[in-house]
Amino acid sequence: MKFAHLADVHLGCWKDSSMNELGTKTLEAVMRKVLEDQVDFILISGDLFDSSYPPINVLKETARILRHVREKGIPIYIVAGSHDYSPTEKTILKVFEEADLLVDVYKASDSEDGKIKLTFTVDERTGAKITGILGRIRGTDVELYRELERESLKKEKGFKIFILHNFISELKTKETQNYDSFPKSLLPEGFNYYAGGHLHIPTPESMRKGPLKSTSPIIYPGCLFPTDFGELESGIFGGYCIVEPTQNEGVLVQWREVHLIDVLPLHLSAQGKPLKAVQEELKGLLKTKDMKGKIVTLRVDGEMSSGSPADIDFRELTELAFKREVVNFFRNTQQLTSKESVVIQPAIGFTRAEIEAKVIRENLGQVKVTAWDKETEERVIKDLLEKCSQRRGGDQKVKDYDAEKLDLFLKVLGIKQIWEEYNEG
Amino acid sequence: MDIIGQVVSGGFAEILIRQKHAQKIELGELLVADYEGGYSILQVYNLKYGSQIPQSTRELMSGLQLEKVNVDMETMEPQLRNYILVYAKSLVNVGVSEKGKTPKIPKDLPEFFTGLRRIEIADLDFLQEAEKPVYVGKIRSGSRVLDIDVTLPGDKIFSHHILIPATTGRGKSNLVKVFTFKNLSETYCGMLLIDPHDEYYGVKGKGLSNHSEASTYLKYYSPRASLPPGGISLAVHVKELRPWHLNVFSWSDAQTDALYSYYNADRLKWVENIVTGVDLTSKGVKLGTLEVLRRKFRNYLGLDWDENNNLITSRSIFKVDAGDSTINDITGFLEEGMKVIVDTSILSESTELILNTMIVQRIFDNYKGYKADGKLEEKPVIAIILEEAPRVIGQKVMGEDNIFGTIAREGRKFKIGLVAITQLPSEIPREVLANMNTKIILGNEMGPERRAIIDSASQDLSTDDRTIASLDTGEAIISSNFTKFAVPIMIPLFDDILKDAPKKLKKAIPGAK
Repeated sequence: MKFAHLADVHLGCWKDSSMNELGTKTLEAVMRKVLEDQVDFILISGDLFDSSYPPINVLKETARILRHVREKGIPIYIVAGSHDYSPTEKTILKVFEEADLLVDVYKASDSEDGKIKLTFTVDERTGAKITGILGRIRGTDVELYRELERESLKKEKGFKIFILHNFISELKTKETQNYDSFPKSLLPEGFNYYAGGHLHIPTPESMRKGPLKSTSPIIYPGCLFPTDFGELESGIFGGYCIVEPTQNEGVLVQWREVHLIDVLPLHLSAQGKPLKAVQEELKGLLKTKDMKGKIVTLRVDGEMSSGSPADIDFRELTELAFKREVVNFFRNTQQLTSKESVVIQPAIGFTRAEIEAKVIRENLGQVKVTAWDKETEERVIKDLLEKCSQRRGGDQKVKDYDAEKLDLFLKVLGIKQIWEEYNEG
Repeated sequence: MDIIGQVVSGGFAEILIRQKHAQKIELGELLVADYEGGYSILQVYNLKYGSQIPQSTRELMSGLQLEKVNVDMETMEPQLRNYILVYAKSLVNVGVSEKGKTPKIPKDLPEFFTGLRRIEIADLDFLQEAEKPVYVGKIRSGSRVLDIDVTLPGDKIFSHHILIPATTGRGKSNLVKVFTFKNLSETYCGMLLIDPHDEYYGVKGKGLSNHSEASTYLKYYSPRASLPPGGISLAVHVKELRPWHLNVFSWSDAQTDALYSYYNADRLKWVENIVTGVDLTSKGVKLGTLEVLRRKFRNYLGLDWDENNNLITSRSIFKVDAGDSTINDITGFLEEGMKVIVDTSILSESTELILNTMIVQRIFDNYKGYKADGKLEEKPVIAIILEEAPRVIGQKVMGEDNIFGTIAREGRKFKIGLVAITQLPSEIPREVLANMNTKIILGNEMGPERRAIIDSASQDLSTDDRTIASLDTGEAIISSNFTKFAVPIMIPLFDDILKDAPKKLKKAIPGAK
């Protein structure tokens, strides 16, 4: 017996369609490899799709890929994950199952004592008995594990596989310590292999270093293709596992990294630098690195000494990146601030007028007008606001309304004459 | 209402009452003396025989009866001549007005010949449910239990420390299970229950896991290979250890220096380096000292080595490939107001002490940080429930730099409190005992232990020595800064609490056929 185990493909997770294409291409490449490995069946531990209603192009491609596998006579066993599960069961997975593209092994019913009884799906060729529990949002599938009828699962004879889409607490590391998880004791005992999904980091770490021989291991192959900026940037790639039972009741797990395309992570700290310097350094970064055929991620952080993040010409930088033949270019400026950024404090007052007055007073003097003192400025702002709030009359034409508004503004600002002279000249 | 006794003599803390014939007044019973505008509640602390017949005459009469000498012996009007004298003290005076009832500390005596009656539920309706109530039991009058719940203010009692002194078999574990169960889903208080007998969770039999919301609010850590569903394996990565976690043990100066040398040389692998015998003579660590450290680590941490000096962790909760986040997870749960049980029943005492120190140190460090950042008010109180408390806050160890001593002295400032359970309160320094502002006193036959409790109580219990000695299983007295008087209670059996507890609702199974 030999089977493949993959998880967290998250097809359709990118807004960028070219990234979604890369995702389906990655799945196709993996399926090609596992067919070459002559596996007997394939397990997918949830989140094949990023949602229960993925984009149509993604669906078409996935159906084509899975159809090819099915035509080779290789079954695909899955559970729904926290993303492609639907509480109303209106998930595309059901359609795919009806089309015989895959088999959902989560088959639950009420037992006599009110517990959840799972039924095994038996692989015809190998006799392997497969069952599992679907994933739900925020790990709420843990409730299903608590109510599980365990004895019958434990007593079942034969080679047993349990597919889960949740993280096990005992496997936490420093990097994953804040992840939702549940204790290993909630898993049913006595299975030969626990096919994990949901955790995007390949776990245990030891299997990344070489083949792993173990009895009843809990294995997370990692997400097949990065699903967000952070995963692209991290450089940690997921993969899939080829699993074979060994003679003395354990299994041999061979993890294979999937690395279809290189990612070049770039980082610039803008700490204490003026806008112009940041722009130049970013350009320099993009000019000097070899990025042809790669996905480039650019993280910019720190507090700029002048200018604002919005002033950085990222369009120019993006064009530059694509001129250097990147496959795709992503940026992250969430931690980029500047000295000029204003920290927004809530304005407190009992009436709207009170709050408006407070906000106006706090922001006086930002735009320097030599002819105005603060009192004049405050009065002008209030007058302008009042004029702005007057709506267009029902039968007033837009053109007339605009002209009236302009006239009001010019009068309030005291520049009507200047405006008219300017237009005449 | 029936008058069962009458004030005949005595003084402020020793009111003598003559018991009415055929009435039975018990030790610890609550009696009520009514007066205009209110009533006093008194508690019986001693009973003596009283008689109008001289002692020698009574002895003669008894001898004649016992030896069956043929004399017609009958006492005339026996109910007048022989009686029981009841010794009582005032607990509280309750003023009654249109505005309601106002309890006050008593400062006067009931009138001469005031009649006393048994207490009724209505007499105690001035007892209000505490804010953030922690249920501890029902009011007890002698052996009679009144249907009035006694609650203590949870947000205060836990951070002001609690002492539960009792000898074996008096109901300490039952008490802990009762108040934890009743408080399980209250997130204003996180509780760390160090369980040396694995009796709280309910692995065999009933326990806190039977609570309908246990899956949400209760976590159970155990080093056992076979865990009940929901139990979490107790493993701690060795890199979480620090030299100061080992302060609960004695080290010579050379050994302490060696510990820190290894720690400073490699902060992640210092424990492994010691156990596997990595040479650090270049930093001044003698080989002899290293061998001592290796042996001590084997004893204290359960870490061993093979003939090739490879580390063996199989017999230890300290691992090199697991347990990275255990301490963080436990403190994280506590900071969410959950109740965390750590089963230490199969751990050696030294490993248990180290583990407890690691967890408590992390809690303390976190809360100190929150206080410095002005965020402490948002955090729940954390109560650390500890059996055999003198191991960590006893006279012998309090001089050392140990985190439990720090919590005992300063924990209140940081909303961290100890719930110290012990048979030997006399082993705890007086200043620590005095700081434990709530004492739930169960039965104790040992005189010196009762003295230690009485001397540090929040109310005057100087007359209660005999009462404490005679407390039966489940009977207790609460002496607390947060009660108006020392409250006699009966702690219900945990099994009875379970019977009345709400059951878990069954949810629909998704995708079920």
